[in-house]
Amino acid sequence: MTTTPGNDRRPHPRHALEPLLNSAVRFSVTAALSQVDKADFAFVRDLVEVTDSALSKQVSALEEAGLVAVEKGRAGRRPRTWLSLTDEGRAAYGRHLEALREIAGGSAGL
Amino acid sequence: MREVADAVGALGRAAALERAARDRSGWYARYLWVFAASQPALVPMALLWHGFTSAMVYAVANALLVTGLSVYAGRQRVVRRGFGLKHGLVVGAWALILGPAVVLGTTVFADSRPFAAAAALACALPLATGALLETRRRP
Repeated sequence: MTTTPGNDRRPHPRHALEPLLNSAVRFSVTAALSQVDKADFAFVRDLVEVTDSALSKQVSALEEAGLVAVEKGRAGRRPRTWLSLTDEGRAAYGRHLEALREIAGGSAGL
Repeated sequence: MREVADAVGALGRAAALERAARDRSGWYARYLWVFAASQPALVPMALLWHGFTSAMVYAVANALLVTGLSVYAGRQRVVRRGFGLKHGLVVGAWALILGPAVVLGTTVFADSRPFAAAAALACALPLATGALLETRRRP
């Protein structure tokens, strides 16, 4: 009996990567938000180490894709922008991490 | 090979960011510790000290505590995951103990120091437990 190695092969885990999260900044933003209910825009900016405008641009892309929710509020007199992951965003981040782990785990076989 | 190195790097970056975000949500443990620490002072004050002055001091102390904690919470830049549910459970448990404690402490156990001490500890318990669990949650 012979086996044909190509027949039962699963697709390479890179195909499971979330295209939008291949950007380092967008990936970092979702990573930071994955552990919290919501975080202040300035907190994420400082954590990810980007400028206001760079973060704003990337958050807009994530919001447009339905991965991040943006909520405007106030803290006393100061306006505040809260960022949070949507359910879809949380699931996408989880899938992306899983794919990364599979790719990284592949190094053992190399 | 480069793909693997990139994936390992991204995972490391994600872990560091997740940890940093979690660490910054640790303010809630401090909030609960302060709330718990106030109970051994406030509950006996409510049960053992009677009269207008007592009511005024109790009201002002409570208002200062609630205002201080609310301002502290409002200034935070990160809200931990599941904050609403956890806060609701902790404060709900505290209220469920405080209510009967005040009723019993002003009727059946009026002016009983042992009861006031036990009630103070009982009221502090859900808050301290919440704070302890919150402290342990963080790596």
